[in-house]
Amino acid sequence: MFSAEAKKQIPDILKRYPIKASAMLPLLNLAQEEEGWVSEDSMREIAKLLDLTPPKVYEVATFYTMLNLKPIGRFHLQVCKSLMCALVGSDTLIQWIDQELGIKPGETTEDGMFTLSTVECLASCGTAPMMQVNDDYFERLTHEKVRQVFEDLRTTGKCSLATGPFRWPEPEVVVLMAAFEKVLLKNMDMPGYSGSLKDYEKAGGYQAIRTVLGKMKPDDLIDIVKKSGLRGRGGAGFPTGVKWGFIPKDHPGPKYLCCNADESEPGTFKDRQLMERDPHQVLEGIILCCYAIGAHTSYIYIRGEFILGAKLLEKALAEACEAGYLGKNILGSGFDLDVYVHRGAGAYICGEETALLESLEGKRGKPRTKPPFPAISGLYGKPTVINNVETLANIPYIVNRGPEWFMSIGSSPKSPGTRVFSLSGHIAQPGNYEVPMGITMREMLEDYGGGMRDGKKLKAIIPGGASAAFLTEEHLDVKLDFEGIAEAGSMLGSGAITFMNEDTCMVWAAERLLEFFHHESCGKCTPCREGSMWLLQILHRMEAGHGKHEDLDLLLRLCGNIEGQTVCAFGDAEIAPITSTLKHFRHEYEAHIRDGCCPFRGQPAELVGAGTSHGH
Amino acid sequence: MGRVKLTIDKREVEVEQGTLVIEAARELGIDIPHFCYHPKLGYDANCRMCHVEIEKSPKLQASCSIPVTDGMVVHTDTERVNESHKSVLEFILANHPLDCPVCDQGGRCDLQDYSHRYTPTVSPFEDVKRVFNKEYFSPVIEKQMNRCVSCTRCVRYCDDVIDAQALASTGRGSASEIKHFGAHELDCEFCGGCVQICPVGAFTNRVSMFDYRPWMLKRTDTTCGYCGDGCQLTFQTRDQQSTANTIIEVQSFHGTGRNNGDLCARGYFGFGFPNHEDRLTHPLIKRDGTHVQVTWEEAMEYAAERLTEIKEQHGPDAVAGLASARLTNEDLYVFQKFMRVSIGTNQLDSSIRYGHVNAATAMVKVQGTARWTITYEDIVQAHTILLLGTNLTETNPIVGLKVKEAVKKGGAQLITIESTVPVIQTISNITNLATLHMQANPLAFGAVIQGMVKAVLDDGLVNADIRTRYPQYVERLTQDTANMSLSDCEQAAGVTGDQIKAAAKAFSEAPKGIVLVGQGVLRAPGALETTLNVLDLLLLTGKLDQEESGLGVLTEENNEQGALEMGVVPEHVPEPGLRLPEMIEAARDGHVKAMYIVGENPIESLPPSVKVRDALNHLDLLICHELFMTETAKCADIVLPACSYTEKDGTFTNSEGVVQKVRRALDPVGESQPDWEILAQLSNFMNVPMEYESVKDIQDEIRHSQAPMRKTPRLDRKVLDAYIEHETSNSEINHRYVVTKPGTKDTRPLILTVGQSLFHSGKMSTFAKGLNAIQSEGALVMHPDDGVKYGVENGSTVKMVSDHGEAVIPVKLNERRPPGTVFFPEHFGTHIGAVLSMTTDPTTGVPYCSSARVSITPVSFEV
Repeated sequence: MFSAEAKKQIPDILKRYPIKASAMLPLLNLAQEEEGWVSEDSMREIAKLLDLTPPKVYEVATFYTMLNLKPIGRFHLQVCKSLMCALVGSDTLIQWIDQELGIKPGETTEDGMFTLSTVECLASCGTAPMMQVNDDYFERLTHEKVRQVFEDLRTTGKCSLATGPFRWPEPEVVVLMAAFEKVLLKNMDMPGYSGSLKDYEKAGGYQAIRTVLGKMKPDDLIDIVKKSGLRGRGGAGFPTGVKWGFIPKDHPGPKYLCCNADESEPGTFKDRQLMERDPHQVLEGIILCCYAIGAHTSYIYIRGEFILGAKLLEKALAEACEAGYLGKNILGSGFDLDVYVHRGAGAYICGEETALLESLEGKRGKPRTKPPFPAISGLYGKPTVINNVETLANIPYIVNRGPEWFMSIGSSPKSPGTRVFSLSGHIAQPGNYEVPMGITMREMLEDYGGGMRDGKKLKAIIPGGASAAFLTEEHLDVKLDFEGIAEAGSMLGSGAITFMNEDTCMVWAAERLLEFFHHESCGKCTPCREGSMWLLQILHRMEAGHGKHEDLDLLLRLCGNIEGQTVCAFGDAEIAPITSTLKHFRHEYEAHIRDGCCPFRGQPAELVGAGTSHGH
Repeated sequence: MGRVKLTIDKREVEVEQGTLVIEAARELGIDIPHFCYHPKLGYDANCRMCHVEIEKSPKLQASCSIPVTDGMVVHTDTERVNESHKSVLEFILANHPLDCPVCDQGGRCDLQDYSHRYTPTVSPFEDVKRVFNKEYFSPVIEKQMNRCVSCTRCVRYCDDVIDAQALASTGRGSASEIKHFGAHELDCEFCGGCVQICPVGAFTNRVSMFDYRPWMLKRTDTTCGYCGDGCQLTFQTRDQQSTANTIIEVQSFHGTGRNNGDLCARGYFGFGFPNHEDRLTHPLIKRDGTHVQVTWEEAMEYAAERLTEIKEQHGPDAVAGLASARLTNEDLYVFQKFMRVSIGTNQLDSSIRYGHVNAATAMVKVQGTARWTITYEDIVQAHTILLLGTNLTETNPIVGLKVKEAVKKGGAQLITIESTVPVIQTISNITNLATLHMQANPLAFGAVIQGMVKAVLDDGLVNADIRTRYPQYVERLTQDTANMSLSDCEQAAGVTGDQIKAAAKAFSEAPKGIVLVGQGVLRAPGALETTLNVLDLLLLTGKLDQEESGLGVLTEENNEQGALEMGVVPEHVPEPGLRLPEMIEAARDGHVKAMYIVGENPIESLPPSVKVRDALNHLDLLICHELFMTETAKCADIVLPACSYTEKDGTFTNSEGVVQKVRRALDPVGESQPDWEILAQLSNFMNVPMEYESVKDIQDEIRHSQAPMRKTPRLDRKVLDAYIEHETSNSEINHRYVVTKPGTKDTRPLILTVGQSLFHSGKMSTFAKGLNAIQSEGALVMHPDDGVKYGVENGSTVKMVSDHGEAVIPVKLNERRPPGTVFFPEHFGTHIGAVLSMTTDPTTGVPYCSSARVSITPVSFEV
């Protein structure tokens, strides 16, 4: 039940949306903030507030994994166990927690202090192993740090080891390797840059909206973005200006922009840095896009786990409103815009644009069938653009420096501009690196990633987040742009690159990723819902040494029966780890079957910063 | 809408633009396999079973979600398509328990049928199947999640069609599961829609669980015998063994009947009464105060002899007849013929006297027909619908669905004048969908209509054509309403003048408008006048004489319209007979010596203060046809066992005026006989020959004896002119526009109304096992604030006192009941009869006994 204090926030929450049900996740999140979990009474209360029945609130609450439907300990330890974290020791972290607290995943300490859960990717792959404790992230954990965290939490309820605002690697590393002019990470490289409005303005921020608002025709702005060749940075790489151009001009409105800040693709942690370190850059991009498409309301759909990111965005919004960059009649241009931060609650699928819309409408995050496309019928059935954080952050610079400038960077004409690549895995210097598209994978690994860690040999690369097919060392000379990676048989995706060394079991890696996909499948389409479970069971069996030769054909056949058979691209994504490891590393599967066990099991655990190399 | 030509499997078909590929294929007789698609629901395209190849599309497409385009070329039977279908089945079957031998859906399961069509007998799945733990779901609906294909048809039906929002599609991915709310038992309106729409055995009917295999059942299409909506049902009976003459379950198929396959709890779960152990199976004659079993011949001889004797001694008018409006048209026709010809009296009445007569009288007076001038389709297409005292969801649930469809799909405006509060719960409530809800005092619905008529006149909303055609009528009504004010209406009904004005404006400006009037009005004092005022409202706004607009009156019993049209009323003849309340008085004072009652139970229908039992006991002869030993039958000298409608052929006429077939699904229970057959035989015994081979003979006779009636008649202009002439020539101020304010009384602060529950209809439904499992007793429903005020909690017991008596009953708190009012379901009415009294309508003779002013005090039991 909501406290009197919480009740005061409710009218303000409801005011943000044209339909009440949209306040579903904000209210569920609020209920959980209040009590640590979402009780039946809370769901009943929310149902009343939203003119729904309790079952309709319940079905939403059970979809999002951050929402606890049972009481939990005072501190909720959530350890990411996805592949990228597992590569550098998340399983060891779980053992440390067991040693310190005597609890395994799903358990709570007897004193009710700590509950341990394993979760899927928290967008902290370059700073793994990590855990989230209530609102805070703790990254690059060692046994010692873990001990310290628990002691501090026990005694003071707080711990100064909490990380963020997020930025990795540290600036001194970054400065050393600045071979290109950065665009998006440039401001935050400046000493003392805090991401505040003042700092952003000092760095030349909010000039683009002065150039555009009321002075340029919206269509002209769309043309500039089209000319720049900017393609979406979320994963699909759709030309941004073209997407904006799909919004019907004669529509009476309202029209919407949804900023997709649901960064959840395992391996990816760039948007988190862009939002936490330089939020105004994103906001300016949002204002420009809204102006171009005629939207007067925009929602930033940010994944629920990014609690700090959401707070920093809220702060930036308040500053921008105060400065007259948002609200009514922005800079005297006659253009009005309200922007709201909308937090998710734990569902990877909500990064899929139509699932995001469903979620924002207060429903279970299930992708919609297309057509109709969001540009025609999106949020609340109105024309809607959905753009990724990084995509939008580019817009002010395209306006300020011209489309030709943007086109001159990277692999023109099809992959112009820079990309912020998130590097993770068995490399010396994981982290976010902004480079022009088109440098080679080798340059990325050696010049930025610092090469493979501990002199180990490279075995496999995932070039675009968990949904991208595995590549091998043979692909080190492919270009990091949309076309280059596609030609190599994978995709650039969200720009997340994970490197795996020779000790990594490919069956295990595929299994880990399938665990992620099985966990995150929304369950709408039969092939994906049932297929993810079936595939995972086969991989579990294979890894445990109970695989059979027929399983290999079965795996491929099942993958074929999922591919292209589902409403959204999730189905295609979930099979990529299997089909690509079977393509490049079939012999490892065969070895599992032949030996009746995982050939990598039992090898000495290799400590890499923290934890073992591959989680066995 | 244009037409589109396309080719499916090399055959051309032309369909309406916007048609989905799956439907276009259906027109060619091609059944594209599917689970999640259903024509009633918006598509969700989740099962991925209906994939087809569409030329120029590289990927296979879900045919349920693709509208046709001109020149489209579709293939539904290529190798690629078949492989896709097979693969979806393979995925589903991987985790399916394959428990077909013990699944009640077995034999009519889409998954079973498609598996038979596509898959090999061996599955490559060798891992561990997902198992959802079995959980108790509800007394009447069985849930088995291991069989679920996650198509969410049930949830979407519950949300979109029923508007109950009682089912939750919970969890995520392969752990997705249908639930209610947490581990709570299902609490909903139990329409059975989730069971009917489930393509597999995930939801089944628990009332008949494990009782049958579908292919062993005999199907009989018939019409529901509960409310006036007239739903088509299919009774599934088991009749292989003579001992198994029972209805096993009910279905209603999409696309059939006025209900289009939708049902309510009564229709779906109310089938158990015919075989109830208390059924009367043999004729009984009272000897020395006790009923003894006799043969039909003895009973007939005795009845004929006594009736003839009384008729000869005291004249035919010493005999009075009363019939239930639940009988078939054929029964009712023969009943009135028996009374008029075999006995020779016009002293006959039926249960339409309890309210429907009020509406019929008004409609005949103004529009010349007591039939609806609108249809259910018109409701669905309406721009604006005004509901007046309908309590629609509970009383007439299927008409309720038509209104929901009009609002949810058609975007109709809904104006409600009802006594319920719009509160969202897992039982739908039509006022939740209202664009303008006026929450009225249940004793003063009429005041809101008076106010609307005044607002139409005062605010210049009168239809221009009407103003030109009938200026004197408009003038007259303006005078009639001159002395009333909207604040009078506000004081009477608790609805503000602004709301009334807004409603009047919205209704008059709507291009098409429909008013539905329900029992809340028709069974309360002032019903005739209010119905006339509604007709005035329709006339003034130009909607009475307009196609697809007009008045619909809802009936509580299944054949009230039939009873009216078969002439089972004493009026409309040169020498009208006594009406129900007068009959009772005549029995008491000895003018009536014998009564012949068919299926009616006045002792329980009228409050004890009327002392019907004493009156009936004063008769020389009481003959009853009954299914069960009712309180009235107990007084009878002769009790004749009648067939229920499940055991006979005939027709019912629904509220809307549609005559629909009733077909015999069961053999008559015991020695019971159809009412018409009993009456015809008795007539023969009385030497008044009445020969009918079957109901067809009766139907032929009805057809010959009546002028043919249009299914949906139009208003009769001549009658309207006469009405207007009459209204305008009268010099007195019309008392119909005097606002009466329901008095208040400090010592009796609550208004009690008695009416219908969603889960029952009359008393017959209380013999149905399924419905009793949902609701087996009545409780006094009141608002939680009143609970606090009077110190009672959910489930506690109260003493309710009126000026006439008292009753001790349990309480149920519900926010839908407005504070200051309490409600009791009439099916359990004997518990509270003592607090009710009866008044009689001075014009229509309708006995009003469904409301009272009461006070309540908590009762504490000494342990």
